[in-house]
Amino acid sequence: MKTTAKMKMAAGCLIGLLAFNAAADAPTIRDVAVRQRWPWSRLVDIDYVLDCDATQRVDVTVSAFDSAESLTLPEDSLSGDRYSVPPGAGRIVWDPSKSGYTNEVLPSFRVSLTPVPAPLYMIVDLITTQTVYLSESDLASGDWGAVQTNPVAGVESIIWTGVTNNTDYMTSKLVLRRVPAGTYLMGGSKSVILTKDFYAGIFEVTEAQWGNIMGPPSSLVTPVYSKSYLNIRGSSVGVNWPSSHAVDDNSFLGELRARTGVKGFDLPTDAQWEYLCRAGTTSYYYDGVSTDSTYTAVLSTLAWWKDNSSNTRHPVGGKLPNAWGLYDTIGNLCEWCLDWYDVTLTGGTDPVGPPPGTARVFRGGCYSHIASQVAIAYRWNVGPTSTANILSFRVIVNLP
Amino acid sequence: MSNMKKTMAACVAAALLLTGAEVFAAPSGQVLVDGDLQSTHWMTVFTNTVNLAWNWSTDATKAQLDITDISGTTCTTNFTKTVSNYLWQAFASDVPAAEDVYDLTLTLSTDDDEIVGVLTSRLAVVHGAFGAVTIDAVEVSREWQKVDKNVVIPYDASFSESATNAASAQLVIAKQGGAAETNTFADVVGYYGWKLRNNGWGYGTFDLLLTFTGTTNEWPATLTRPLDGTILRMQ
Repeated sequence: MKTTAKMKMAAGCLIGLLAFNAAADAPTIRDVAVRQRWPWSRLVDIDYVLDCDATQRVDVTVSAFDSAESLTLPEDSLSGDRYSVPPGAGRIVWDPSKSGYTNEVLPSFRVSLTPVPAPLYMIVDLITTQTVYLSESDLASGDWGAVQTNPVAGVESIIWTGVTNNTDYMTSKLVLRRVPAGTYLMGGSKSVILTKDFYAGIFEVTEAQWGNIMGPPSSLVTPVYSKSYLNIRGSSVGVNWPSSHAVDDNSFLGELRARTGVKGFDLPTDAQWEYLCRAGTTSYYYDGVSTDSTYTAVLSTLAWWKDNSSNTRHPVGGKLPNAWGLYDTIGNLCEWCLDWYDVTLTGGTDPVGPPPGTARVFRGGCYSHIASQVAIAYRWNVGPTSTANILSFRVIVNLP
Repeated sequence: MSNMKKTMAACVAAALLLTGAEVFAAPSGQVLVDGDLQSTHWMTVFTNTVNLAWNWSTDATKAQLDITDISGTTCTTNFTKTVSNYLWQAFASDVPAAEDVYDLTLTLSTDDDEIVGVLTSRLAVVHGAFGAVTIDAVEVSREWQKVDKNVVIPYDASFSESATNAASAQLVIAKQGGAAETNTFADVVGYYGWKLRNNGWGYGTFDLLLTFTGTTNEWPATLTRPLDGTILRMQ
């Protein structure tokens, strides 16, 4: 081999080493390989290697092209390692049958993968249907109002408290907070592993937000109430959980999914609800300290309950949020969960609740409940047709 | 130039990179020849020059690296213990002309030619690692079932969630009314290079069945090698 060729290779190795070291600062993606699973399946594997710090987690955005033409890949056509991805080998799977290219041959398909920091907040505009994501640096810029660091002892977090100063976020927009995958003890006893990040609405759905989706228009920023499980998910396919995440087109969630294009909107499962409410704490309420229902002074800073509510619901966001910036998870109005009710907690990995029964779970207690009934672990149940006036809900967005 | 000649030319052009006896921290793209193929994803080549590395066993003093491609051509290189890295030029151009699968075998031996270790790896060259690829999303596509040359077939337990605990895989290729071939893989993720040309298969319809040991999942496929490139059997 000629000396020049050897020098080129050595230089290539050196550049490779330098690039590898530089990756410690900014996440990078390399070694991207695209291949359809011929002859077995039309699914397309997009393999890659992510270089970043060992503790870092990033989202991966996918841009696809056929030659120079940009392709639109629907969110639900992509699965695999896209959210909160650790360093190392990853795979994203694209299902062409869930895209607009079902009956096409794409002769020059290629992708561009970009690692991006996982956003903290997701803002869905119910009028324009646009979705905006806010990262930690966006919040730090000051453009979005006040933020608070580590609001709850023992949990590291940054939350957006300025969100309560603009009623748009309670009327024409939905604000959701990224909830990290993790493990906790449900009810203090059953180990639960939630393997995927999801977004949780920071407020209970308000009258105004319901009105924007289902009508009639309203300007009230109090939680919507007297909506049955069937109103929210539908009485046809919407009753099929846990066998399916599908909802009826004419239900609140059906209309919300269709309008925003965000297919992951749903109610939280029982396990997701307690996890999002605890927000990393193990305390009786989400203050990180309380151990029983005698902490009524603390409770009154967190929730509208029997002793401070004047026996009525209140505008959302009026009390202290939890460590992940979620308001009114306890008190104000109770919140529907996705699962059927059983007195025994199932626990496990991504639990979906018991088999079909007669009542659905609801959580969090309400303005008329005593201190022990607004505890994080307290569980209720009622038939899915119930339109009780203490029942509201909060939406989440499941990530694929 | 024939494929064999091209491969041999690549062997000749390959560069040796002398390092110490120990494997150092790997830059992007280094491949450890170690036989451990239980990785989540396929071992894929991303450049035409692949940095191969290995660990010497204590009593070995020399090694022989055999790299065999899909057509069966083997490129052999010998090393002494002062070398533990090898820059292998898998193909001559920046972008491969065809997909390929390479079986790597590193035989470690003593001065007395006693074999003290055998390390293996399998590497694939796939178009999708070098640029744009053709994606056929048509559900009933004539081209999907057509084969006319050597092909690279993926096998991967993660194709089916119920097979993720599988320990090994098996691919059976059976020509309708003709020969059959059973390929057993000690790993569950990889590529198989099916040498279709000049290997006695002839023309016709082939039934493929991919299975993973210990699971009930079966992945069937039917492919047709038409005599004149136009006759297809559609399922």
